[in-house]
Amino acid sequence: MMEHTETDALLVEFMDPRQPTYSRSTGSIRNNDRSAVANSTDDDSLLDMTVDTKDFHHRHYDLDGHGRHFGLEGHRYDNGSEDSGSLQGSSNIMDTLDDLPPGIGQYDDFHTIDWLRDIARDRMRHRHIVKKRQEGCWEQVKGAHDAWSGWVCVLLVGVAAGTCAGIIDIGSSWMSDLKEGVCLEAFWFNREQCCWSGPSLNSTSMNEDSDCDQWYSWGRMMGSGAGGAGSYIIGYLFYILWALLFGVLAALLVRMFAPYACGSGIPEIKTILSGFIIRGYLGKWTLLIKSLGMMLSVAAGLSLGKEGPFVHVACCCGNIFSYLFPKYGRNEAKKREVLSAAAAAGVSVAFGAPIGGVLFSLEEVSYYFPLKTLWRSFFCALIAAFILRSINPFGNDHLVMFSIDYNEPWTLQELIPFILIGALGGLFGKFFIKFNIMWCRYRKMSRLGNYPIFEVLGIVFITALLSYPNPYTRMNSSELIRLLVSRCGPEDDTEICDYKRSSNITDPFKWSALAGAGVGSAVWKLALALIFKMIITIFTFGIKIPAGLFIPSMAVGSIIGRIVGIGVEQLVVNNANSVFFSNICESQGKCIITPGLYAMVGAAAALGGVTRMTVSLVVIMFELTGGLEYIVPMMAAAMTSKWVGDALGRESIYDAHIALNGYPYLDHKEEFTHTTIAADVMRPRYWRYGTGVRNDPPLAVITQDSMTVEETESLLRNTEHNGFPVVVSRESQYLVGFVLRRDLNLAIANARKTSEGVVSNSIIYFTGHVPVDPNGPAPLKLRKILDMAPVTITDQTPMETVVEMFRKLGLRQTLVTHNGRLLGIITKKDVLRHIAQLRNQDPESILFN
Amino acid sequence: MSSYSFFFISTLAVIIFLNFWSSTGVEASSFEDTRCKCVCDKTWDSEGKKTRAVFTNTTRSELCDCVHVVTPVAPKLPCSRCLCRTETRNTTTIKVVVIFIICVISLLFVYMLFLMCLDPIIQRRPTTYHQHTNEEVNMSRQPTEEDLSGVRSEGASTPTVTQDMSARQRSLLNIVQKEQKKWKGTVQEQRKNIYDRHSMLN
Repeated sequence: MMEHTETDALLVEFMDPRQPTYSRSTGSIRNNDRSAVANSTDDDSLLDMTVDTKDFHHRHYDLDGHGRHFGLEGHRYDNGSEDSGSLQGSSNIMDTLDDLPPGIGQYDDFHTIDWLRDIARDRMRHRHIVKKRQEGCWEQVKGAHDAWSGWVCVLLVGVAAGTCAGIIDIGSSWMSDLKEGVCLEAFWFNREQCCWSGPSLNSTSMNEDSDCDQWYSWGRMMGSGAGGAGSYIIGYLFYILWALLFGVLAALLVRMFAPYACGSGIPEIKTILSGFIIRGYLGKWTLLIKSLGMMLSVAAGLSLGKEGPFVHVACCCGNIFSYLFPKYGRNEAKKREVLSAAAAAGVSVAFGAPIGGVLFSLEEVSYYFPLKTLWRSFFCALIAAFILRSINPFGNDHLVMFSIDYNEPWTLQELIPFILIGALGGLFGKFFIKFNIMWCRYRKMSRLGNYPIFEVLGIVFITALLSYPNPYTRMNSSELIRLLVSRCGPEDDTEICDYKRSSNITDPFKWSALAGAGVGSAVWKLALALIFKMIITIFTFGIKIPAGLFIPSMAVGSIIGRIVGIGVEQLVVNNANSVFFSNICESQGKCIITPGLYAMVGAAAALGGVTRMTVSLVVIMFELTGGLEYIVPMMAAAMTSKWVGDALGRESIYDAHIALNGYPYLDHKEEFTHTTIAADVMRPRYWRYGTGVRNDPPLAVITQDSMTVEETESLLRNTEHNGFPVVVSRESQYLVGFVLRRDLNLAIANARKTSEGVVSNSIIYFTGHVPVDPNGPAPLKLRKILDMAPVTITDQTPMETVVEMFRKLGLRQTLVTHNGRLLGIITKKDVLRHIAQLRNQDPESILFN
Repeated sequence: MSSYSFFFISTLAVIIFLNFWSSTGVEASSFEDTRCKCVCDKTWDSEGKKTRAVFTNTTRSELCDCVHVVTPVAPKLPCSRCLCRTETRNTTTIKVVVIFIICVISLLFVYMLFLMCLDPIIQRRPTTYHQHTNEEVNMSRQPTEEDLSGVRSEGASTPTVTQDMSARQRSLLNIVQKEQKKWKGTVQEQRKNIYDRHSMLN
């Protein structure tokens, strides 16, 4: 940061605008120039024109006084040192926002942002601040504030994200337990906290009620004895009723206050970070309702998690805090840097994994991720994790419910079951994505989509009805994962830890043992829970309440892993003398196989199969396990899962949902391999396709110095384009620049309101030079809103290059020229439409808007 | 939004109230912030298959081990079969957060009921109310201007100031109403996108 500022300061010093060397020209030449420009139609005069326009610049600065930004630029032209061509050139678009009407440089809802333009604008603003810094102490303070505001912003975002996560964690665990009973003495405690100092120990204990006095299950409240059939039925009834209450409350709150709060949010965050505007998606109400809705929907016992929506919640915090700093709040490209950091903080608090969060932001959600953002993301993620850690929501000094603390060794042969688990995870991911997308498409197309509240009620009812009888589905998914990934120790009094441990060795819990009867029944119940969770999650993900996918897919994976792990364990224990297991077992009865590790590997595999993450997933997992010991098993499983998944279908669940909703997202991962050229894609199409598409309207252009306000307004009324190329004249079609519809609208409206003499037949000038006409109406000078350096390509440019340009530069549109004349335009949506066409999809039905 | 400040103030009030209520109602002894939890394996219990657990509440973590906790109570238990752990929590944080959540959800619920039931009834009678509000606006506007000029020429006198204040309050109310209308429009638009057109978040 400091390095940058210093370099810029030097640059400014070097090009001090206070000693400019403007070239002088007289008024008589001016008129000649003007006629030359107006009549330039052939290629020779084009050359003249370029020279002339350059001259115009100088004169313009001369005439218009020494505006600070122009001075800087004029100097650069004079030196002939256009060192960094296009960016410097375009920096005159939005030099300082002060003298422009408010709203210019902003975007409308559902529009794509122009990264290049916004970044150039920010650089210009920065240069302006650096230059002003020499003017005094106060300006220096302002400059310092500007320099550190990025760090302050991510600090605030981290604090807010950590606090939100703490509140949500505490709230959801309390509400989940409310389904089963209440702590009468202190109603704000969940079951575990209520029995904190009572005789009971295990919150995951299977035999309820009998061991904690303070905790009143609903059956006990109603006066029936513990453990009877009556108590069970009352408990069942209350479980369903509370679940329905929570579910309907979540659905109603979402529908009433913030419809954007539903779903996981990651597909939309990905789209927003790739440069799309969805107004209100990251707003205050969305934050509030999403946080509450997450608690309610987790508490309703649905097969969904709150970890994915944490990313959305953190991004809401990022968006809200970015408005405190105009540098970020008013510049959409800069705002996305803060949002990237916020996404990292979201994963950081979801899994207690700051580094994993940063990598998740880099690998999965972010589109534009410079190094500066990497550092800030890391800082933001650390702060968020620290805040959550000091809130200590689970009372176990960990950031997640299911961190593991054992460190048992694993052997090479175990890689075979790990890879098998990875393959199963990949298969699960593929089938989950396929059926979930099918169901979501059905919901979108059919009448089912018209009854969102009833759908939620139905899913909640079915889930509650089927999950109460099975203890492994009745408990919260996070608790289930905790149970499955943990090692059986002395404190565990559960079915799944029912082993026949021999009492005559010193450390009985270190070694694997033969399974007792309890393990057998636990495996059956787990298998049923697996089938139930796999099916219900397909229908749950996509209903209109906040719903994440991390936890349910991890739960499915850890059930698979635990079952495989118990199988391997029993196989080894029963064949301890076999040659294959000689390095696993020290002697008879001293073998080490940790089924909990298999469950963790399974969780990683299933999550990898659904989201197709690799690096960030492994890092998240090893931050969860707290050591590098298990990194090879995790890597093996995550890679196998990704390979199997990619072999069956390349899309991750988020990409599939982006495609389903038709968001304008240009994927980095996919390669463009077709041989089409720019002329095939650009609008208008008749240049290429002849009379067949004659009804395609001609390219709407604005001339630089001949159109009146009225003509321009009628053009704005009759077309729906978001921007217009500005040309020298209609006959020549030589390109001058590009102007955005929104800016044009605002500027004209503003001029009509504020400047005197601007009427319907005033001529709009995009040129630097405006002829003085005492008789005609006052001219309207709009040079400031003109983008003088639009990205242009020729019509023969291969689409491979064009797609790369759109991806790497984050373009919104590019202009197509032929022999130097403007021919057409390609927008991001044209590119997406083209890609969809090449894939034989119907482009009109899938494109958003 | 008016609702924000409303929520905030009433949430605070309820939290304070609940705090008073709860601090008197609950004996603090059973809910400590720190515990030392020792668990021993069930196999070594003489009573058969029951988990034997021993607890103590301690503030110093170095004393939390089997020798200090289990042995004085049950000397027969071998310490190698027991696991001791210190755990801390913050009961105040949990209490405040849970009560805060209850308050926010109930306030939102009430506001939702208001928007669903009462608001349509109020909005449905524009013909009877229309003229009335117009009148009010006209009446309020003219005195304000006069008052303002009066204030400028004569200096502040008490009745004009109060009227000025009420006019300002009314204009504040107008701003709030306008904001609320704007917000409602946005939510309506979002609802249309998601629930009717199914163009987003499917």
